Amino acid sequence: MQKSEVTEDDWMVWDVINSRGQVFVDEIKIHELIQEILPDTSWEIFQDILLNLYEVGLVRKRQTHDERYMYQARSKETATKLQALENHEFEIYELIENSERKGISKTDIQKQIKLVQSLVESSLKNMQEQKLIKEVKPKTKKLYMLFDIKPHDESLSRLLYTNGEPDTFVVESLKSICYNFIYRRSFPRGMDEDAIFYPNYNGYVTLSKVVQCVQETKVTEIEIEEADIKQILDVLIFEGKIIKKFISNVDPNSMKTDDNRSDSQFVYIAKRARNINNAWTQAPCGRCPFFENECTENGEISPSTCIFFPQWLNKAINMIQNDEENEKGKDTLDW
Amino acid sequence: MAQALLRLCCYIIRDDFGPIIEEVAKVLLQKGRLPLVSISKFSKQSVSKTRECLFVLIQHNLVYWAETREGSRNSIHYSIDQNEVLARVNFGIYIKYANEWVRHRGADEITYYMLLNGKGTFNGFIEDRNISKRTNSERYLTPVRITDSKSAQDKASEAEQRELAKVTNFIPTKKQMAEKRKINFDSIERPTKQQKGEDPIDENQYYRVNYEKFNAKSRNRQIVEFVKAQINQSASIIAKVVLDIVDDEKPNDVESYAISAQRIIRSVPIEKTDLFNQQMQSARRGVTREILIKQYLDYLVEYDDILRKKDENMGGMYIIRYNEICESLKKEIFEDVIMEKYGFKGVRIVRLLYEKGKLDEKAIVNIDESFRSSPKAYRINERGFCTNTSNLSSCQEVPRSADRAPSRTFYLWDIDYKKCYDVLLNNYYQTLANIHQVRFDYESGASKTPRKERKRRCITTIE
Repeated sequence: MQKSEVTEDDWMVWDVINSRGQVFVDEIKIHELIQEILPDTSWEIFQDILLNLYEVGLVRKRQTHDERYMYQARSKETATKLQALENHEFEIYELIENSERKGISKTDIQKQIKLVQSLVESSLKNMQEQKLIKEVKPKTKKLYMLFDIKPHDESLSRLLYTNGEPDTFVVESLKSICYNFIYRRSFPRGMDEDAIFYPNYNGYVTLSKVVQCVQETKVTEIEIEEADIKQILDVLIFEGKIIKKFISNVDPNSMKTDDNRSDSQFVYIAKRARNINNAWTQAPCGRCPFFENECTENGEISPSTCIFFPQWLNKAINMIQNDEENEKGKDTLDW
Repeated sequence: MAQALLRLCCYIIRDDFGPIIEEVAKVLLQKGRLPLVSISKFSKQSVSKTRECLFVLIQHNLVYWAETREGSRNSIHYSIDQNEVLARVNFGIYIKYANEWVRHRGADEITYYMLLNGKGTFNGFIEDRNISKRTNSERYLTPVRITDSKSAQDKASEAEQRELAKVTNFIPTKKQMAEKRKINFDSIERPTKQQKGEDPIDENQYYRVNYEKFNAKSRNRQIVEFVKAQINQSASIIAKVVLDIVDDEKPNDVESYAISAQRIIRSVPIEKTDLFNQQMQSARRGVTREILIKQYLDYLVEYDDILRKKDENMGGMYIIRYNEICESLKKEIFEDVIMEKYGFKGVRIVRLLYEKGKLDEKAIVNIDESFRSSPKAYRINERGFCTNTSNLSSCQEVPRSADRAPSRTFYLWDIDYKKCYDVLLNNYYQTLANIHQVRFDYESGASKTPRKERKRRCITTIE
């Protein structure tokens, strides 16, 4: 890595990029933003600053499809470590960095970098010692990735998985906690049991509130992440117990800043529990394992020889007899 | 599908008319449009007996007949309508709810009389003219015309013959025939609308029950039950009011005409206001009845599109989209069946595939992690296979190599709800036919089970 000095202007530009967080920012956007702190900076000078930052290792560079560049800030500690690397080691580091959470194997690195194998290996070893990268083995295959990010597989998650399998007990208990919380907040209290909120009510539950609730119950010591709870809620949506709605609460009087974007968001509303009253599954044919293929009109298995029909009919007879004794007098049978 | 339907239709006719008429109907159902002699030959009955059976079936609006000219002779062809046979399953519902739907006492007796006889007159039967006016004007009963004896196919072919007869000077080409056929459908006789103010009751006019109207009412009842189960009773009352208002006009399968919020508010019973207040928490206290009802209407618009707001004239114009609500009803029934048969996991897979489209096993695991287990995605495979054997899901192979090796092929699972509804309907027909068969076995004494008499009563109550 070339060792060049970082000027004050460079630091200011780096601050601007760093303030955007862990995202890639378009260079035109950066140029607009630095006009406030470094007015009248020409495009050429700006590009020199960016080049300097890149060479020192303080920013990552990526090219868009229409030949512009985007930049993302790196931390100062990483940049100092990168300064100590050789050029080829820096190239390998960039490859590993670009693979992000997926990781990249040694063979892929060698294909792209076209160096001698021993050189690649020694560079990787050097970077591992410096704690820039780490080795992971998700599926008996060695992959390399940056030291401080979580590999793809592990992210799903320590909370819900034990030994690579979903922990059904944890999942079920979290599901019931989330569902009960959402159910309580979806219908008004202190009124009729079937009461509902008025339309455009904006007090429904959001994801962050659910996470907060689960954290407060202290069900587990493991850290509860939003992604885990989102998964649980997705399962509840697919089971038909809750629905997800997009509610926009844009206040026309307030200033349009980034904070207001969070007001328009997804909320979760519980559906009422209802009895499943399907007539077909209450009849014997609805639950019979032979209904689809084996049962025919005159075959060996047929309605005439069915063993389930008499049981069903006997049950109905007993119900009618009980009703007659209790003098309820129903007109139709409610199965 | 056709086999189960045929079996059910035969059992229904045997139930109502007996085994001899069942034989005749079975021939028509299997073979289609036939003349009298062929029917008598296939059903192995004498010609006179076959004719009597056909008279009964015609009287009950099940069989159409049409006189056609074949050379120098006129011959009469008979055909049966499957939908009319199936409609007989719903007769119990029609009679049960007739009073409520026609909103007049005695309607159930008239309906019962009409259904028992197929067609009937009001001759000396009804003393109270009001009920006959109401059933007629709201089209619960329709007058029977002579042309009703012909099926739609017969009418189309007659009209085609008439047009061809006009053409004498050239042999028509395929295009010209197609154009003539288009015009023909327009010239098929349409029922003349009765003038308002005329006394429509002619004592010698035959009437029959209008199944369409009763089916529409039954559908409305299901919609109200659906809203009650999903939301609450107040919402279902408002939905019922809306459905009653739009139902005055001709039943439309797609969507109703727009009605104003003011009209709805006027029609909602005032005594229910307390219930409405108790079952909805408003934004502020002390809302008026009007605002409360409007809140409910807006809630119905937000919730699953039960109502749709067309525009803001006159306080808001609302329409009901029947086909969308019917889709929701069908979906609910289908998902209930899946829940009962395959459990929560089955419901999850079905809904996942419905929302996301064709998915590979890996993609399913990525979206719904609870299916990840060892052996890999075995549970999905099992679930998918189960639903596949019941013809609910389908699998699409996408090979990655030219030799289509199974290990290098993507298997995409997919579910088509319309196809699933057909499968479910077929299962329902089959089950109904099975219940009929069990009942006939008991009646004939074929199966040996104790407490026969009570069982017979039980089965007839089910029917």
